[in-house]
Amino acid sequence: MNVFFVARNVFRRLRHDWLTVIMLGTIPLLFILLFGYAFSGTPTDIAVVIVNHDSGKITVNTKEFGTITVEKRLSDDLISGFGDHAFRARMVDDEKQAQDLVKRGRARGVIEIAPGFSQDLIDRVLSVKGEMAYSYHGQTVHLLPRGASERSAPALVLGVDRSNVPTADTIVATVRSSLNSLFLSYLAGRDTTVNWSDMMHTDDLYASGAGYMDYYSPGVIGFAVTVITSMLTLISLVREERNGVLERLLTFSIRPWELSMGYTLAFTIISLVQASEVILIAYFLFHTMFVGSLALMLLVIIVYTIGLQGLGTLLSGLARNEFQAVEYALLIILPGLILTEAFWPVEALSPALRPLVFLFPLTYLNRALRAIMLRGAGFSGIWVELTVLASYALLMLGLSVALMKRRGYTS
Amino acid sequence: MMQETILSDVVRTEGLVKRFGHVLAVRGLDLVVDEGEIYGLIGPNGSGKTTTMRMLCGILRPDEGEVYILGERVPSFKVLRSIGYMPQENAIYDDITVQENLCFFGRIQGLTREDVNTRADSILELVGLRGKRGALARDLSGGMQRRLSLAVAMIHHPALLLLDEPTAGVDPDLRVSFWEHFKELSAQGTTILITTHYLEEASRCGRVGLMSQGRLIEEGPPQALEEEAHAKTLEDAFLKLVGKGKEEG
Repeated sequence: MNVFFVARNVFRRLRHDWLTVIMLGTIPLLFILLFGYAFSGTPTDIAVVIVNHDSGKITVNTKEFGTITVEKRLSDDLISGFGDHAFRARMVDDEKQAQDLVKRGRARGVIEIAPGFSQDLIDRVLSVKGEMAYSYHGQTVHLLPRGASERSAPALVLGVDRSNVPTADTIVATVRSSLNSLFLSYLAGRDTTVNWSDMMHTDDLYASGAGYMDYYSPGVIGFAVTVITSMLTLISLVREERNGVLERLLTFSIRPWELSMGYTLAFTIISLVQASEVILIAYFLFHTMFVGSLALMLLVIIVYTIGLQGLGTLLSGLARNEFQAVEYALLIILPGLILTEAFWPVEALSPALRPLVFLFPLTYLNRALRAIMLRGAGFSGIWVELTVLASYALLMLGLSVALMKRRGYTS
Repeated sequence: MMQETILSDVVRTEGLVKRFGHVLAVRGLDLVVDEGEIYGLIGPNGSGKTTTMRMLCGILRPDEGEVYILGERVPSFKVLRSIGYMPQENAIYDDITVQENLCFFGRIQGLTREDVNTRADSILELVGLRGKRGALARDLSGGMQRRLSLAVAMIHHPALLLLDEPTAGVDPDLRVSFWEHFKELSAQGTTILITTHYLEEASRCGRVGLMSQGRLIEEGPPQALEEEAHAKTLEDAFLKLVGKGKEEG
């Protein structure tokens, strides 16, 4: 019977805490809805740059006219084979310009099509098929293999940013699939395949050889910092608020900004220790890639933690007990798991949710950490992320100081 | 003559009003506490004592009226170093030791480490916690935690002590020793504004103010209030004066 009394008392207490009841109801819903709507499966709309030098001039032997040259840009068929949603493609004429876009994070990869792409493809098809009918100036001609042709370089070169492993893999798989389909369309009816493995070459422009563990590590660091800092800030401040220490402190000669900065300093040190633990374990035990500056990485974490601590301070002003504090922390952590590129790129999310990714500071931390750890980026490579994080930190710090001032208005 | 009066006022409130929603917690409070005085605010729960205390130390902003502490209009950051506030809650860090609590609060008030140690010796002696210097605050009994809270309020030797129910939960013999110390501090010039629901304690104050429903209905030396109300004890006087105040109010 006592079990029943205890259980009933729990619900009685909840009855007087409407915020907790709402949270208890909405957090699981938020969880499943976010997961359900967030993932669209394979990444789509990946930003790529296409440099198409394909001349479309194909020299072939024919039964009827001997050697002739026809014009047909098969690379256009290759590109249309990518489909409407796989890539957000931008066409440029210059490889350097294309690679610069990847360097600046504006594109995930470069698809470079050589001048002899169409020629190479038809040569390979004819070498297997032997003969192929073709409409030439309104007349059907029969194309014949030219014999052994010399190929100096692959006709299709992919350059991918492997610091984003899921999108890099998707780019390679999509191009490969389109090329394969192109061959199959010309080999229709033939029970044979073409060996085109040397026709396509993939270069890792950044983070060469990176695997999924390398991709996840920066996300784990960002997520760990977020979980611990938000929990610690919220629970500590709510506890101090409830036992009267915070109020008492405000009757001492301490400025609200000093109080805020004091907490920020402490929680930042704790975050740095935790981030260092994750980095060391990831590096020495799992041999994850780390090619950038550790100091720059720690600086980014510090800036992010300052902002997060400010947000925690603000939310602590709303929470009336530790229970509510944990619920508010979950509101920070939950989107951090799904909508911040911690473990999945923005391209893997449902298109409707993608704009939300840019609202979360953790997104910018994850991007900056990935750029530093996997691409070796310096200040110039992460200035956008660092600027966003610094602005966020200043805003949150300002608001948390204002809240402290409101709590004890003297200072 | 007027200037002399203002200089000796440590606490002065003028027409202090505080509302919480529709509830008028303090209604036009005019209060003056002189230097070195022990002034007791007494009244039933909800009479506005704690709200008054919180306005005096700058935690609550009055809706109307002014507060002056040591001649400075509150809010004033400058005056905070001169105030020692002991709230109703213990308001101490229970996960650090007694010494660490005193050190932290003392350093924030501008004391050096040496000053803190020197002050801690005498204050811990006074509150009977000398042997508990290294104990975690959470391991202390409720009464001991209350004593630590008082020690924190006094660590920086403030000119004004605002003590909200300082002796609640404290053993009777220790309460006596507290009051002896309050008298000593008072003699040295420290002003003490104290709330208490122990009316026999209130009779030790130089003056008491009787609060009811946010109003100061009567004030004066305890004996004078007893005489005025034709009562034998302060408790009787309080009941009679509060009843009279209700009839008039």
